Amino acid sequence: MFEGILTGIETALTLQNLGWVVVGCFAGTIIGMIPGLGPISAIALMIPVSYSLDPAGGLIMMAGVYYGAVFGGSTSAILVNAPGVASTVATSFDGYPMARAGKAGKALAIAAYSSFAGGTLSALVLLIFASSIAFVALEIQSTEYAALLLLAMSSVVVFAKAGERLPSAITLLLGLIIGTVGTDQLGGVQRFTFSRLDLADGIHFVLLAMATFALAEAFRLVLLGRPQATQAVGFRDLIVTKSETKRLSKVVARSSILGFLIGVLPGAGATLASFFAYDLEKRIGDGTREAGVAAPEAANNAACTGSFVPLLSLGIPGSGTTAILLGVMLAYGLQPGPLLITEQPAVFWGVITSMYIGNFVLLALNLPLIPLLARLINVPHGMLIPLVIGFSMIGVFLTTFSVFDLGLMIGIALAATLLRWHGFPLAPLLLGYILSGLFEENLRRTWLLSAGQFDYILNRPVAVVILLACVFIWITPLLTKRQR
Amino acid sequence: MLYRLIIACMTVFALGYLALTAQIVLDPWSETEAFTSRTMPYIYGTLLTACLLALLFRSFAVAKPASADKQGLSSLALLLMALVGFVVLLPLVGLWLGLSVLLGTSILVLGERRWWAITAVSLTVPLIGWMAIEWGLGITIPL
Repeated sequence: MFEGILTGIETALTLQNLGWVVVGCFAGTIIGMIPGLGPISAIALMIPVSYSLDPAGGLIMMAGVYYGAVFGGSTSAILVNAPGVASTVATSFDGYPMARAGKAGKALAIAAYSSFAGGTLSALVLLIFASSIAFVALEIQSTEYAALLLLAMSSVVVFAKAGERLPSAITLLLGLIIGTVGTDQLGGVQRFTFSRLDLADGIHFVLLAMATFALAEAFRLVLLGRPQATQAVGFRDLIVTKSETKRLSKVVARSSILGFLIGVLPGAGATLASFFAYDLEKRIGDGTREAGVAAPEAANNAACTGSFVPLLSLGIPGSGTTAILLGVMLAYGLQPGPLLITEQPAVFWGVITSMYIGNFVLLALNLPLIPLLARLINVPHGMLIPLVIGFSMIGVFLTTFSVFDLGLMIGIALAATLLRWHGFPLAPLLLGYILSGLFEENLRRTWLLSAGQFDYILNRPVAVVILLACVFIWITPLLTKRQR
Repeated sequence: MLYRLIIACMTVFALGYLALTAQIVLDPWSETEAFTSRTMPYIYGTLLTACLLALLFRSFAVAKPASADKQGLSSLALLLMALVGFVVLLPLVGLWLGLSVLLGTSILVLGERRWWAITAVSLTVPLIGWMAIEWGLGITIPL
C-alpha cells in the first residue's frame, strides 16, 4: 500500500496534474455558486475538457471540480440563503443568520477551513482503508437504509425547538408529500401530475430550494423590512482564534467521520451527511452558529471523498455525481473495481492523493476571495433582493427550461413565506422532499424482500439497532417530561 | 385569525391529497399487492391531517407573528406582479431581455429612484449572465 501511496504522490505532484487540480477547483467553485448548476452539472460541463487529458490528469481535475462545486454552493447558501446544491442546505441554517448579523466573512472562513479539514481527514482515511470500507458498506442494504432515513426524519422532529415539534412534523410531511409528485420509480405510475409533462419528473430540487429559501427570504424581507447589517470584512475575519479552533476542531473531527461513513454508503451521499452532522451538533455540541456552519461543511466534504470508495474500489457509483465520473472512467477505458488498484495503480492512487492536494488548493484559492464575496451582503436590500430574485429565476430556468416551473416556484415561495411568517420551520420541508423518494424506494424493497414478514427485519441486526435508536429518541423526551 | 386560516387551508390540502391518492391508477398486476404506489401517499396524507387537526386545537396559544406594515404588503404585491409579468413575458422576449425587465421593475418597486443605477444593474446582470452561461459555458437556452 505504501508503494501505492508513493506512486499516487508522484502522479499527483507533477506540475501538469497540479495545474489541473487548480483549474478543476476554480471552475467547480465558480459553477457551484450558480444555483441550478451543482456538482453534477459542473462535472458534466467539464467532460469535454477532461477528454483532452490523460486518464490520471482528467480524473484528478474532475475530483477538483467536484470539491469546488460543493464549496461554491456553500458560498451562495451563506451569503444569499440560496443553497443551489442539496448538500449545502444545512450550511444555510446557521450560515445565513451569521451573514445577516454581520459575520459573513467569519461564516465563509469557517466553511472554508471546515471543508478543508473534513476533506483532508477523509482523504487520509480513504488512503488507508479504501478497499476494506467498500465491502463493509455493501452490507448496508434497503432495510438498513429505510431505518436510517426514518432515524433522520425522527430526529428532525424530536429535536426541534420547544413548541416547534408539531410545525416541524407538518413541514416534514409536506416535504414528503411534494416528493411523491411525478413518476413512481418502482411502480412506474404517474402520481399527482394532473397529466402535465412538466410534473412527470416531479418537482425539481433546485426549484423547491430556491422557492423555500432564496425567494421566500426575499419576500419576507420585503414584507417585514428588517434592518440590514453592514459588513466590514478584511483578512482579519479569516483568522480563527485559538479558542474557536479548539472548540471547532472537535466539531470538525466528529462531523468528518460521520460524513465519510455516510458518504461511503451508496445512495446516501453528502446531503444526508450534512443534515446528520448538523443535527448531531445541535444535540451534543455547544449549539453555536459557528459549529452549525462547521459541522455540515466538514461532513459534506468528507462525504464527497467517501463517495469515491465504492466507485474506485467496487465500480459502484453511490451518487449522480459519481455516476458521471464512472462514465468518464469508462470513456478512458478504465474499469473501476478491485482490479483498478493492481492494473492502474497510478490512476487509483493518483486520484486519492490528489484529493488531499485538491483540498489544500481549494482553501488557498478561496480564502483570498472571501473578503470580496462577503461584501455582497453590503449591497442595499433594494438592489440585493432583485438580484436574489433574478439569481433564483436563472437557476430554476437553467435546470428545467420550463416556464411552468417558474410559475410553480413563485406559488411555492408565496406559500413558504406565509408558513415561515407564522413560525413553521422550512428546513424539515426540504429534508422531507430529499428523503421522500429514497425512503419509499427502500421501504418498498424491504417489503418485497421480506414478503411482508416481520421476522426478516429481526434477522438484520444493523437495522434493528437503528430502529431501536429511533424508538429511543421518540421515548426519551416523553420520559424526561414525565420525570420533570 | 390568519394562522388558523392557514392551518384550515392546509387541512383542506391534506384531504384533497388523500382524495387524489385514491384516484392514482395502478397497474393491473400491482392492484392486489399490499404495498402499492398509493401506500406512502396514504400514510403521509393521513399523518398530515392528524398533525394539522392537533395544531388547529392548539392554535389559540400560538404567539402572534411579526407584524407587516402596509408598505411592505403593497411592495410585495407589486413584486409579485413583476414576477408574474416576467413569467408571461419570458416565452415572448426570451430569458435575458425578460430578466432585464424583471430586474428594472423590481428595483423600482423596492424604492430605488436613481435611473443610472436601475439601468446599470438591469443591463449588466443579464449581460454577464449571457456571457457566462451561453458564451462561456456553451449552454444553449431555448428561449
